[in-house]
Amino acid sequence: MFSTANRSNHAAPGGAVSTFKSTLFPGLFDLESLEDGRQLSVLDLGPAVSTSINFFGHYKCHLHILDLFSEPIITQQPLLTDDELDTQLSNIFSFPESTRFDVCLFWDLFNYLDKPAITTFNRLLAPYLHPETKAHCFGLLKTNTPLAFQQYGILQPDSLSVTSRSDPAPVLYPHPQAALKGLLSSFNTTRTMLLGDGRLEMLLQSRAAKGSA
Amino acid sequence: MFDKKRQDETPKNDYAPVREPSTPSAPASGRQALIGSTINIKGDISGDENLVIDGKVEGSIEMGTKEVTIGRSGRVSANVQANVIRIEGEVQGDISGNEKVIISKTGNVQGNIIAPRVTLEDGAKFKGSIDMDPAVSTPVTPIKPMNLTGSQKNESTDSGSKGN
Repeated sequence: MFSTANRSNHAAPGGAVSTFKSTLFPGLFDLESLEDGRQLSVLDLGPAVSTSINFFGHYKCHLHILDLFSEPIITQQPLLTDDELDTQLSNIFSFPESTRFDVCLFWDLFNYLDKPAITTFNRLLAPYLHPETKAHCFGLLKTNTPLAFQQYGILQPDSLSVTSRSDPAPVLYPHPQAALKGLLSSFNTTRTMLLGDGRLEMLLQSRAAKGSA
Repeated sequence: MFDKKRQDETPKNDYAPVREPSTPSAPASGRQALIGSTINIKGDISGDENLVIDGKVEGSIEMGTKEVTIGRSGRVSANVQANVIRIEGEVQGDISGNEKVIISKTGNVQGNIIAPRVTLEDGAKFKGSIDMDPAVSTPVTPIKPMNLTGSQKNESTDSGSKGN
């Protein structure tokens, strides 16, 4: 299932932008249907990035941009009780009841959430998924893999911009692949790519039952 | 960006002195109003001329087919509707642009944006949702006269409240 990507995935230093070519990312989008005018509903948990806005601007779409990486659930996670974390995530995930995301962009999120936080995240997101929802994230093959704190933008369906974040890196909670799969019970992992820096690029498919859309 | 704007000697009202348009994006036939950096307005703003906000506004802003610019020192807690909306300062509220919304590198927006086109410059901060549809043509919005209602205040000494 794995293949090793021979490419540099680290963000360029000093906020400079590097490019990451992805073979999995195009699997998120059905571009033909987008060009037919169907609206795409996207949940982006990273910061608002100009390249992503430009990319989605070519299509009829509804973007939810939350930048969880700057929220207390990440920046102050070690100080939060489970109840506080639940409350904060519930407030963030207060979408209209009819919201169903077609695409979820998690980026490096799960490397910065501990197990209870991922479980809560998974539970709160589940009502907003439909059976065709697809998602993308970066995990780790081994828990001792170093991880740069960076943000991503979408240049093309197979090309991401990668930039170092200027804010302090949060506490890292690395999860082995099997553990992460178990925590994300709302998704099946459809494809995984081992990257040259030890990260795993993962393409996920919702496990929401038919009729929940 | 606005250094070259000329000040009109006869402001239309106490709250929004009118200036001749000078920015390339301003329609040639339009007028332009400025809410200065020391001005603090609470209430609803609507009108038929371009509007630059360098001060503080709480309420709502409806400028129909005109352009609204929230300058670097502008602090807006309001829903904003206009043809083109440029944000260089801070906005908390929902934004509806008939044509486009531009968040510049100094802009900071929390709210929901609806516009056919949205441009985000590098460095801009945004949290919320964006509803885009490049196929939508620009609708014609009814023009309303400039009208300041409610509990607007013109506080010339309110510069200390900026940045809230």
